[in-house]
Amino acid sequence: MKVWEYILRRLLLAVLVVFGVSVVTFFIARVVPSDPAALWVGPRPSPDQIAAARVKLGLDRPLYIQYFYYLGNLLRGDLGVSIKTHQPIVQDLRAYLPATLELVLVGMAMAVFIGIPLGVLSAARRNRLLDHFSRLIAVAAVSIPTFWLGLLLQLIFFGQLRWLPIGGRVSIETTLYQPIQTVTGFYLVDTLITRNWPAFWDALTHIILPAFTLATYAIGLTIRMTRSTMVEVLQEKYIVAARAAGLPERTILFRLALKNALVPTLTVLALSFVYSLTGAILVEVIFSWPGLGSYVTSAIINVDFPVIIAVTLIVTVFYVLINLVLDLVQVALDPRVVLK
Amino acid sequence: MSRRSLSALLALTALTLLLSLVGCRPSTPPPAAGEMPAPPKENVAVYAHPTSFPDIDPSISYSNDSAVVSNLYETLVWYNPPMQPQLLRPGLAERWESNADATEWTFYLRKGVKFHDGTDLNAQAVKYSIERTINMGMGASYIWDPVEEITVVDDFTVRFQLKYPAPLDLIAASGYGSWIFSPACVEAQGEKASKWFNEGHDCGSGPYTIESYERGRRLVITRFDDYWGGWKPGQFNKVVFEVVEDPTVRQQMIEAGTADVTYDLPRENLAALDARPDVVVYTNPAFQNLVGLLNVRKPPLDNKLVRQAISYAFPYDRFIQTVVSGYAVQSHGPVPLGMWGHSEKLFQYTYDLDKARELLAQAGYPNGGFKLVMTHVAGDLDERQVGEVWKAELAKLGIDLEVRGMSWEAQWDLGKSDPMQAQDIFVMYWWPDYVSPYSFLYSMFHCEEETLFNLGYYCNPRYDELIDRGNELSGSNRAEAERLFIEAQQILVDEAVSLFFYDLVNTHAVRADIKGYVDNPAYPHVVFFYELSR
Repeated sequence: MKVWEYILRRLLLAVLVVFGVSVVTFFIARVVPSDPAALWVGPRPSPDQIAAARVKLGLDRPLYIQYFYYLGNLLRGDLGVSIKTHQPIVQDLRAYLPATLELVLVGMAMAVFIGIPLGVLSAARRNRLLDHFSRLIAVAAVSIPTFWLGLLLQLIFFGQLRWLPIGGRVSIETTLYQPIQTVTGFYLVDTLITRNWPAFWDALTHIILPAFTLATYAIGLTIRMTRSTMVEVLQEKYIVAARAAGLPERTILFRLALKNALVPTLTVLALSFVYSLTGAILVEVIFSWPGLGSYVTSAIINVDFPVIIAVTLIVTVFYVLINLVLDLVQVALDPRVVLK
Repeated sequence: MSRRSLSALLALTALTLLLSLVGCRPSTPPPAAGEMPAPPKENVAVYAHPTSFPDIDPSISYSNDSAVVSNLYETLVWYNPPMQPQLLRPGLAERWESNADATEWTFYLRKGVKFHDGTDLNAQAVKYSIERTINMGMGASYIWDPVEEITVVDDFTVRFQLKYPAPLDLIAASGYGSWIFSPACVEAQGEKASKWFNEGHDCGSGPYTIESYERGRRLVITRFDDYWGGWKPGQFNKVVFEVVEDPTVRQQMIEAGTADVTYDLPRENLAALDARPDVVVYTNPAFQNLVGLLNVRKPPLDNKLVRQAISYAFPYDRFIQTVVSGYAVQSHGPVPLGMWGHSEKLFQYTYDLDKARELLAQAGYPNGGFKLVMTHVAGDLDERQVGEVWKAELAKLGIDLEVRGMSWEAQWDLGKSDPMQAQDIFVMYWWPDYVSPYSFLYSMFHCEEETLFNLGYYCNPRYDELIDRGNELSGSNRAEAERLFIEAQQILVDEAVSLFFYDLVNTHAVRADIKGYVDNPAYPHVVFFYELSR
């Protein structure tokens, strides 16, 4: 089968998945005891206000009719309006999604650049000092509670050393004197494009601690996965042959062995990437990072159902796409995998 | 995302990593060649705020957003902080008067007030603002329910004709739904005005105007040069509202001086924070209390003796001293400390299990032997601990208290259902929309045909008569109104229709070099930055 045919088929399936998720979340969100009309009006709604809001929001119609209206809007790219803040959700997502993506991408990159080399070296120097050390790091990274690590890093790097800021995406000085022109919503990219160097530097210093905190779990996981698959691969005959041929150790480890050891690690990383989109809530709260996690959490607390559905759909789309990319990467890395 | 931008991002990340590993000091970047020198340091204040601002449309704002809105807009009248000789002071109105029965109110406006769009304040703007709020029907718009008609008498005189007597001066001083804004500015945005406001714009006459807004993160306001009150040296040029959800982080910020004002810090840390030379913790009454409304329709709490018995079974003092570290005061009835209509003479139930046993025996439950369900909001630690402590005490009387944490929505839904199926005890906080005892006395205890906030289902015509009369007189004869409100509260306390656990106390941590800070509980957690200086 040709690659593009495969992709097309997977994308068509994805549409079905998204549709199914939209049905399920819509009905679940609406069965939960709550009164969206009351939430819409404010904290002390009067009965008249509630009645008016019910008509305005179309909540007086049967649930399935409401769903069809919702679906109609969705197809036009309109995710609706937040019940709590009365603002279009698309507009909110434009602010929150890039913030989270930027944080998670930088975090994942840290996981790749720290986790994989450590895992490889750990396998190569099995049962030696470096191996023990990196296994210790891996266990610690997986088991340290995120919020605790975050607070600890803040205490050290902000509280004691004053090297790094305590939270936020950029400092107040940047907002006041070097405002960032939003192009993509990724501050690191926007400041590069507009050559706003002070702001770029500022954004960079702000992302280090939250991204690292977010990455720790993935780093630990990556070290473990890479090490264990590498240990297996290093016993294969082609590695022995390569050694016998006198190839340099670096080529053997990072070119020959790693390529075959990479697939399970990538799978784990990709899943933890999608999980972090909404699962980064603790990191986002501690580092005052205005992302998707805190946005959807407050929506869940308030039963702000259009927001809950919208975020669920976005995450679904990411899951589907990441899975697709992952499958394609597997094909590229391992000729034995065939597209069906 | 294209392959190129992905690799760019990856490269960036590698750089990030490198920097963090070598541990250089990135907070002082080397100035690039040809770069503009940084502008001189301005007088900027930073408010580390625990929540975001849901809606900053002045006709809708009815939440934490008032912290921002109150610095952008003004009301006709302001409510004074406690301990001042006068309850109210002039805002956009220089003076005001009502007829003898408080059904007609006239406000005389200040001259020379400019809105941020350059237009002048006049009577038409007042009429337009209030009518927009009423017509939108959102937020606290219902406070204007008494208004029949608003008439522009002349450029600087506006008259309100009411359907029934009401304290319109208090209503006009509300921190929700009473803001005055420029009609030209709002009209220019047409249908989209509400959205436009929330993108970070305003149409007010207040000392500050919005400079920039990143939703959910940061809002910057800057001084309005033509503010009618004028400007003095030392006042703040700009104020940054920084949304910081984590209390420990807010505390670190105030300690480091990266924030100037904050609140909602861990209570156990407040004493240590106050002991620092560079931070002051202000403690003031909040117009807010914690109540446990008792279901007077359903046995066994339909029996007054049982209600009194369980009122004696809560260790008020011990709870306040230990669990809330003394940052609360036991209530005298439903109107909280510091508000007009509050009376220290009202009876307080104390912790007295012998008395409780005696009352239970009289009621026919000598050994308890019944079960009660108490509902509260799941995430609220204080409410939960009220339940747990009370449960232990009631167990000594043979009463089994089930403490049920729910989402507010679910808790309220259950409360609004059939009283015979609903909870026995509904625990919640109450705060006023505009500062009147009637907000507490009406909402929670006035007869209701359809349940809204009277979640103990109490109904007593004599009580209703007292508070309705009190409300009618609030505008014309406040002393008599206060007397009636206190008399009505005595009925509630005698009948033990609710537990009045405690009145809350507001604590705000402020940097010591900031002058002029006064907490005004009529506008909860609002900091009027115009009054401050450094």
